[in-house]
Amino acid sequence: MIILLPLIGALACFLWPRRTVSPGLITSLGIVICVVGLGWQLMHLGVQRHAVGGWGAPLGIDLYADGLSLLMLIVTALVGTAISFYASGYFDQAKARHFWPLWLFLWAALNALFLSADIFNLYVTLELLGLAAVALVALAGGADALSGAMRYLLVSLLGSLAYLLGVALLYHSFGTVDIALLAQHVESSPAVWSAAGLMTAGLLMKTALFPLHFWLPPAHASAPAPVSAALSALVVKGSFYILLRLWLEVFPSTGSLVGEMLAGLGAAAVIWGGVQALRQTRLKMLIAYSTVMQLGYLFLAFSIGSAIAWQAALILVLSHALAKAAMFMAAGNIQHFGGHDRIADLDRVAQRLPLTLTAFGLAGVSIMGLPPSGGFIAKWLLLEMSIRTGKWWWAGIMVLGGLLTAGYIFKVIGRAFTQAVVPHEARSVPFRMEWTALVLAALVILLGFFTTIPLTLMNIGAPFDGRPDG
Amino acid sequence: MNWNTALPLLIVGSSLLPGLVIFFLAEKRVAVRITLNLFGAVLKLVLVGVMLWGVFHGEHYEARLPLLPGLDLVVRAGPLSMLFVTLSTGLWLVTTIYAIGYLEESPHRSRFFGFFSLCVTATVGLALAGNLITFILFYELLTLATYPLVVHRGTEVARLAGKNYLFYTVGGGALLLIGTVWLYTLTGTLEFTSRGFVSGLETSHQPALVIIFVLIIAGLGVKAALLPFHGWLPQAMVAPAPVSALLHAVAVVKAGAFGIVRVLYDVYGIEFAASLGVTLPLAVIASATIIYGSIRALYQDNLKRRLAFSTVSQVSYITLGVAIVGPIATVGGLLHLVHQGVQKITLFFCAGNLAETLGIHKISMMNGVGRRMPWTMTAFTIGAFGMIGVPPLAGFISKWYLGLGAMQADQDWVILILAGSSLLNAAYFLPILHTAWFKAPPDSWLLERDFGRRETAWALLIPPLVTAGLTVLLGLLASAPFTPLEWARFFANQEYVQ
Amino acid sequence: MNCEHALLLLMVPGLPLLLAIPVLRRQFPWSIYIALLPVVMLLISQANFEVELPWMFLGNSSLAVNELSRWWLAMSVVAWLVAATALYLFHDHDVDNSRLPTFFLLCLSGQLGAILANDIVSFFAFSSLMSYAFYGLMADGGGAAAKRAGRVFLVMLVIADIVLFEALLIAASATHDLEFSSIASGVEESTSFNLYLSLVFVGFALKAGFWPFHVWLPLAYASANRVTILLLWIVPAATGLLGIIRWIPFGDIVVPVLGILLQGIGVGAMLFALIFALRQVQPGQIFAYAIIMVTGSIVAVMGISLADPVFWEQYGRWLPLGVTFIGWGLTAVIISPVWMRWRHTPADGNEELQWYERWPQAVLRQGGQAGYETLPGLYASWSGKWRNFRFNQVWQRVLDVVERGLRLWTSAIVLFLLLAMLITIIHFGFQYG
Repeated sequence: MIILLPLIGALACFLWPRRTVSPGLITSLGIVICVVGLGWQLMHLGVQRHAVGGWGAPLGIDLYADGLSLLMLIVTALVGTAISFYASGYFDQAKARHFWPLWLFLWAALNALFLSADIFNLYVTLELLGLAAVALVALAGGADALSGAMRYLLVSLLGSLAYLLGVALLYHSFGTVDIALLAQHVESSPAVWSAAGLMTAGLLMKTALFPLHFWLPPAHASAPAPVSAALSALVVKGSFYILLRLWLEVFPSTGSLVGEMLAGLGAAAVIWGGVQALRQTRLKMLIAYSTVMQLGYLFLAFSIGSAIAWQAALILVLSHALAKAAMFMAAGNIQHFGGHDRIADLDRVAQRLPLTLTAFGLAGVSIMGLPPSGGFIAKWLLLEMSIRTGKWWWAGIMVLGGLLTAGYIFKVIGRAFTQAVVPHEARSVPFRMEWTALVLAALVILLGFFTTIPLTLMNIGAPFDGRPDG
Repeated sequence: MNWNTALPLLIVGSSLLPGLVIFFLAEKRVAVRITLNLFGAVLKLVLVGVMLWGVFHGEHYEARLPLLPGLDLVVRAGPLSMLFVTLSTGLWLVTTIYAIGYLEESPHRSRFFGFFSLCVTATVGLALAGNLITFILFYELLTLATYPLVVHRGTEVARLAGKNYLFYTVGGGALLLIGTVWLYTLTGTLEFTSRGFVSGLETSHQPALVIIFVLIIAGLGVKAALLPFHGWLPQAMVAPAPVSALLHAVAVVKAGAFGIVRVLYDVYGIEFAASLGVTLPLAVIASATIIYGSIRALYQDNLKRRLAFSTVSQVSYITLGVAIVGPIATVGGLLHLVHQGVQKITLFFCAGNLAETLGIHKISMMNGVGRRMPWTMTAFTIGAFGMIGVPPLAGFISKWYLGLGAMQADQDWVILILAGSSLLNAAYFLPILHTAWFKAPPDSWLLERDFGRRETAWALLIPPLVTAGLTVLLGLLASAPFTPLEWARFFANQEYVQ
Repeated sequence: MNCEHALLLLMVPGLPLLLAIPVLRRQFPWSIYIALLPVVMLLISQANFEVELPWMFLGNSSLAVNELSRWWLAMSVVAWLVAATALYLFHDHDVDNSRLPTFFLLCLSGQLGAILANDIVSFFAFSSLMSYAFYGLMADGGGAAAKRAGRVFLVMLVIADIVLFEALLIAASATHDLEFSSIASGVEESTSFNLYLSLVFVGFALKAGFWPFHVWLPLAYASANRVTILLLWIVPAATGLLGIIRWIPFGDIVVPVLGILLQGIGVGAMLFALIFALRQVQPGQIFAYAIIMVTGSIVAVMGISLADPVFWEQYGRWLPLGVTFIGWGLTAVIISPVWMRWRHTPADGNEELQWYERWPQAVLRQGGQAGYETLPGLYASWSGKWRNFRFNQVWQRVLDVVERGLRLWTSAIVLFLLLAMLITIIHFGFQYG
């Protein structure tokens, strides 16, 4: 009945005898199969809850899967598989030896995070996630990467520490760490509120919401391309997921000032990220600031607060993951091709690397929120909800963000079509690297047409009603 | 999936699939590319013909795809869609032939034709759209597909023109999106219905409806080159001539005008819109654009720029026609959609011929061209006279209906606008004709390509002659069955309370 | 409606139109005479008939032959035959100048079609074709004065077409059937009847060169080529008169004000022609003034008819006769050797440009300099300023500083703690507030 265990177990035990690439790829496929199985199970049997080792709550570790976690798992599986393929072409032998264990470890942590049912488990997985990510960032070598990684490490630890304090407070107040139980027992008291404050702040730090986003651009930009893809697409979504769960189940306070504040910070992130992205001269920094901006969009849903708004935010998560991964892969291709990623010197990439540029373009379409793409659907829903609830200023922010995005995306594409002043040598790019990027980008466009599938999936178990289930 | 559902999808797909395949062809595979292109174009024309026949006999074609709970993607055939689809498809075939000849030795042809096909897909899609969200989807797709064509040449000038183009069109798209979402929150549906779906709302929503109208029309007006959003059109003339011909004179600006027609008639309903009081300002803006475009055209020496400003002016005739509340004026506006497209594309083809064969870009260099390229200039003359509104050409028929409609609707000031505009049109077209036909040619042209006894390549010569002939036929035989006039009347009948 | 009759009627304007295409024309010798064949046949057959063309134009077109058109046809055929002969005689050497015969045939087609037209739109269409082709005839091959004449004629033609278009609209909105017979009865009930009358008169006056819109006529007579001179009566003037007679239902209406006005204009034309002819005419231009006088008198007659319809009924039928005979007479005189010799004295073509020819050029020049790029100019200066603004050092530094500032650990930790406290307090306050 529980296919979850192999997910995590298989990953963990495959870690040690790592020498070649193929186990990594096989594992990716295995994970996909497992996720599909889980999805099937969820659709037919409803929400799943499993006690690890037979010890149930409130003491043991519970695993819980509902529509929300399923969606996150699917995202991770899709993007993870793509990254695995990409990385198999990207890294040479020496680096690959370090990359694969770390990458699979990160994936395992991510999966566990999405399936955890209590907040302490969440802390553990969050910490593991952070450590794996830092190590991956440092993989590139070089001063930039190391300083970025260092900063990331400190930020991660600080955030986790705050989170842990919150967990401790809650445990002290209620004697349990299980989310479902907490949700039933939570009541207002100073302890709860400070816990909420600490945990939220910690998670915000890890999700790089303005103004705590400063660590993200250097880390994501100086990491190797597949790592940047994983970070932007998946890792930051992990802490967002935790925040969402807490918000929905443990601290339901729809319409409160905190929601507005978060959305306000989100709006600021949109504007700030967009303006900064426009100013960049290096492609990967531009994409990193674009991530800052897109994460800001996600937080707008906190103000709107309706079920559809959360669903829209998750569609945005899905699209952003696919699109951003595709973008970073495309940027990696370009860097591999030309040896640099300065935007002004993109030297007619359009003709030499048409697949890459198409991938970048299609991903850009989703990031801009233009139809037909998943990003458009998400934007539509968010706009609709913000107008329905009367908060039309968020709609204005979203539109403005869309315009800024169009500005920097087309800055890149326009330059890619024109002849640079100084043409330079070109190396060829491996087949699979170009195609992975393209496939991901195509997926996000197709998502625009078939959005009903993710929507029905994520509603299994009704995670958005503000009440615990199961 | 039965035939009625499949046909609209096939029509959209018949240029999408060849386009996608063409992207992957190597540069050298000329024959394959040409075959694919022409195959797609002819197939589409045949399918559209079948659909025309079907709609005329009362068949119902529709295909749906659920997008979101409560919203579908719909493609559907109706008289207005058929008008635009036929225009686009027919002109696409002609332009494909022209483009094949024009770009014969240019680089990046696979990329060009791939995006070209995507553009036509988008145009046909938005013509057949059955609700506002499908329309928006294809509308934005059109923007995205035309951008690479504008920057095709790869020069810095092209890049800046593309940036300018995007600045306008993406901004317009954003306005359109906001307006549509807001409308959706008020009405809960976006399906195009005769006489609009908005009139059922209570009166307390009326100020919001007016603002929404302004937003949507502003968004559409960017593509339709309404004042003050017309700035991108002259800049976009840096694109190769086939691009200017089809896209900026026919597909893109017509898509904007078409959108305005749809919103006015099938979203708001013309009579409801009149009761809201928004039709008169729209008519005034359109009139201002007409006059402004013509005045700017007078001062241009570059031939394509003059034609671009002429387009700015002429497309607003369509908007003016549909904004006057009266069935005859509606017929006039819709007729002008078709006729102006055919005439303008003739003019652009001829301009492209002059540039390709003789290296002429400016009117002051056109002395005596009529002797060297008589067929081209004859086609140009026919197109120009059609623009001025000389009978028996197509332009006369549409201007007639516009004028008559204005009189029937008691808007006599429109006739003055029409008269003034005809005068200005004559003022900037007739000197071109005079220079070409009646001045002595120079000793040698700037850049002459030799074609033997013919004046220019066949692929460059046939399309303008075909469209010029079409101009004459559309004017001469305007009252025959199966002409745009009949379809326009059909549509107008549905939209007004009898 | 007989098939042969229909075909004959259609061929009358149709054959010249086809033969106007140079490629086709080269296949036939004496093609212009061939083009005139249907018309001659039409004249010979005495029957009156009409053919309806429901598919053409706006749905109500028809061509017809009746009493009125016979006279005009008779006059025109003679003139065109003579002109065709002149074309072959004097311009045969311009074998590569196929423009002149092309314009000739187009003009012929238009004129014949206008005579045969039985509804207002066909008339308008054919007369436009005729007039534009006539411009071609004037501008091609003539001297500098003829070219000037052509330009002035063209401007007047354009304005005339617009004016007549408005008149058409008024007529069409009053009646639904556009045939002349229904126009005649229907249009008087229209509220804009006076406007309609004025528009028709002004429009045709511009097209036909009535006084005071006559300026190009003398110039044309002075230095146009021979063929054109032969046509200067029938093409603009006679067809214009036909138009007025067809478009306005004389004899059925009473409009005293306009009638008196027209009488005044007619008389003025005659006086003007007389004075000028006596004062400063050059030899070749005498016929121009003769024409002005004649048309003036006809206008006066029309004026009288408007004031007093009975007059028209009594004398109106003489009008076609008069027009025809004048046409024949002029043709005969022009081709006579006497006049040809007369004409050889060189005409003075270097007159100063009139005011109405100078200021359009000035306007264009002004506009070109000042307004060439106003709107884009504004935009360009704005975008230049914006670019300066964006790349302005101050702004760059501000953005960089803020971003770096956020990276400093002190600020980060401070912000972090602030955030945590803020969230706590808000929760707290919300609950108890």
